[in-house]
Order: sequence, then structure tokens, then C-alpha cells
Amino acid sequence: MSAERLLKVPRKLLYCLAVFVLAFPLFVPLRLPIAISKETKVFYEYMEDLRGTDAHVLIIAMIPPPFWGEFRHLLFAILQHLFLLEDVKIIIAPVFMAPTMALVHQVLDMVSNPLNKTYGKDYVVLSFIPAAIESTFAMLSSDFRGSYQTDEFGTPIDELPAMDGVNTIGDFDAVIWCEPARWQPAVALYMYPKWPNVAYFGVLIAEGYYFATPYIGNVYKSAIWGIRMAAEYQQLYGGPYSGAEKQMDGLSLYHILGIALIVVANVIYFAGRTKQKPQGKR
Amino acid sequence: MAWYKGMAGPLVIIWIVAFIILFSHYYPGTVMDSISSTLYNWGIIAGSVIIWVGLINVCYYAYRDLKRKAPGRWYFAAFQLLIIILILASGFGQGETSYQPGANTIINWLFNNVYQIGAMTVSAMSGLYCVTATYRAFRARSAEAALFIIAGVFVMLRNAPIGGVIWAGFPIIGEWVVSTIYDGIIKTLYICMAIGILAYVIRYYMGKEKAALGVLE
Repeated sequence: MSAERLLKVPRKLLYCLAVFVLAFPLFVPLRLPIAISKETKVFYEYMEDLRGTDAHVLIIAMIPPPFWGEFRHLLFAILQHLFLLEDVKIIIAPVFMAPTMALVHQVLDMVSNPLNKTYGKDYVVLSFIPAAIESTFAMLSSDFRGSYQTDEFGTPIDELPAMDGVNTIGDFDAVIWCEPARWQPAVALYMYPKWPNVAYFGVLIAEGYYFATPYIGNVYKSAIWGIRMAAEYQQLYGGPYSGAEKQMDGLSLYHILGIALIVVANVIYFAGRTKQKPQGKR
Repeated sequence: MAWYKGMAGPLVIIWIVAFIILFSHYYPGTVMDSISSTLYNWGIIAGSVIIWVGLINVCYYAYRDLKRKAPGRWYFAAFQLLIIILILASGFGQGETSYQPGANTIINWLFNNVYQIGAMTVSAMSGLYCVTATYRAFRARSAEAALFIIAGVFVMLRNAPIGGVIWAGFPIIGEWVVSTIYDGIIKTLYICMAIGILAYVIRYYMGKEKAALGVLE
């Protein structure tokens, strides 16, 4: 078979190969090892230090449904860890995209019920602000308490014990900004200049970390992205082998398949070219 | 014509609003803070109104396509109108809490079983295209292309959970590619974007961006 024909493998064959590589580990878990990244370690260690300190963590979330696959695992890992820490109060603020609220509740149901966490005492979901990201962040930064009169269910936030002692962004021990990619600078523009002592963290999709890298280590203490880091995080706090961790075999094999295809295609390409060269000289 | 009837009227409002917000941003702790906060609230209210304007607009164009039986589009328009009517009827008919997670309503059923699944599927499809791209497009035809592919492979090995297990150096090299090469480029891009936005804002405040003020040339 000529090199040219080998390079024109039907796409359907490649798709089948990709689907097989992704699906196989779901049926036969390989439990390939996972290397823990520096970003996940920094994120985890900071949260771990909040154990027993009666800390308040604000999670601002804007998650469009196409990215729920990744964010479900990331939110699951972060929320489960924070709930396991005891005495940490979690305040969740869905912004910009209303469907975010549905995902937040799906994950909260999965995490809070088995750990017997109480709404209002251990965690709160604030009312949704249907405004642009810029105005929302500017508003939260200048007047957090004034921006939220009630929680999502219409209960005045003064009546929620989890909100005790929270008046401004500066009262939070950590602010986690969950959003796919493009709006990561919002923290740097609207919150960090006013509240530089708060620990900010980013949570985003795998391809989105490019948007956050200029801010990691200065504005953000750390950021985690994609299912992979959700799995790393789960490993660090000793979460159950499920969800994100189960998908890591597929992710590893898929990357290896990609690299193998690059190598094979280039080997065939160069082999074909060296064969053609002598003919060209004649 | 009175001065406020042309472009000057909206421009004066824009200048005043911009002045208050910028003043409150750079000099916090003054009376401007509460005015600025009120203006942000107005922005939220305006945003909610704009959602309705968008809905009316979508309905109008769908209805027009349906009425004209636009070839290749009328059935999409009919489906669109049907879904809009269904969601509005469900929302208004099943009460204020119909959209809340967990509520057994048509909105939630459509959202969880149609929209959410469809959106995630479309997003995930790009992963399959990546596989064909690696085989069909990533060819080291030149030194630059070879460099690009090598850098890409290291970043892939950094991103893959197994990369660091195969060899601890892969994530370090991948990280170097991202933090040294990529970071510089993305920061440049951000700075260029910021300068572009600043130029646009200046043009806007000077009344040169007429489309934003509703003036079509």
C-alpha cells in the first residue's frame, strides 16, 4: 500500500478508534496512575488549611450547559472536600447564566445529602443576578451585601446563619471563580484591586487555562481545570473512586492515541517522501 | 432641532454615567459609590428587559419565516415557535417555581433531557475532530511545523494524567512551553485587546461609533 493511501485513512475508522479508546476503560478500568499537578496541590493545600477555622468560601459560578461535563466533576470534588472540612461555610453565587443554578443544585444534591449538610447553616445558594459579568463583579466588589437581599428561595440573607459575618468580599477566606475560560480576567479587573488580600482561585475547562495562566501566581493563588484536575483533587482528599477518576484512563489513552497518530502519520509521510525523491531526480 | 434630539442627548447621558462609574472606581468612598451602585442595578433591570426584546425579535423572525414558508427554514421556525410557546406556557402556567431545580415541570424536563444533553454532545464532538486532525493535518512539512508539533506533543503529555508518570520531565517541559512561550504571547494579546477596547471607548464617547447610538449610516 502506498504512503499516500495510508495517509488517507477514512475518518470513520479514526472515529471508531477514538470511541473505542474512550469507552474501553469504562468497562475495564485500568487504573492508570495520575500525576498530581502543582496547581491542584496549591489549591488543595489552601482549602485544607481552612479546616476548623469557621471560614467562608464564596463560589461564583457561570457555567453554560455545554461545559457541564467538566464542571460537574470539578464542582463535585471542590464541594465534597469543603464539606468534609467541617466548619467551612460555602456561599454559592450563580451569575450571568441562569442554567448554572440547575448544575449547582445537581451537584449539591449529590454531595450535601450523604454528608448531612444543612442548607442555610452549612451552605447557601444566593439569588441569581441576571446581569453582564462586568457589572456583576463590579457590584459584588463594591457592595456585596447590598447586591444580595435574599437567597435563591427568597429567604432574607440576614436570617441565614451561614452568612453571619459576611458583609464584603474581604470577609471571605477564599473566592472561587468557576467559568469556562474567557471571563477569568474579571477577578483581576474588578475584585483584586479592591480586595487584594482575599485568596482567589480559578476553576475552568481544560482548553480554558490559557486564559487564566497570566493571572495564576499573582491574582489567583491557583487555578484548576478540566476533569483531570478534578480527579487529582479527588485523589488528594481521598474521595471515592468515581466520576472524574474513572474517566482518567480514557483521557490518558486518548492523549496517547493522539500522539501515536501524529508519530505514525509523520513516519509514513517521511517514508513516502524518501521513496519519491530519487524518482524526482531522474 | 433641539440639541438633545440628535446624538448629543444620548452622548451627554453616556458621559455622565461614565464619569460617575469611573470616579467611583478610582476614588472609592465618596457619594458617587451609591449612585454608581444604583446605576449598576439599572443595568441589571435593563438587561432583563433586553431578554424580552430578544424573545420578541426571535418570535418575529420565526413567525415571518413560517408565514412565508421560507424554503429550508420554515420547519425550523415552526419548531422554534412551538418550543417557545411550550416553555412560556409551562413557565407561566406551572408557576413561579417551575424553573427551580428539582421541580417536576415541562421546563425542567426539556432542559435536563433535551437541551443539556444536546449541548454537551455538540461540545464533545470536537474531541473526535481532534483525532482526525492529529493524523491528517499534523505533518512536519517544515522546520516551523516540526517545532510546533514537538511543542504540541509536550503540552499533550503535560495535560495527560499519565504524562508525568511516564517521565517526570514531560510536565516540566510542557509547563515551560505554556508558561514561557504561550504566556508571553497571550499577555501581548491581552494588552493589544485592552488598547483596542480603549480606542473603541474613546471613539464611543466622542460619538464616532454611531451604530451604538442607534444611528445607521
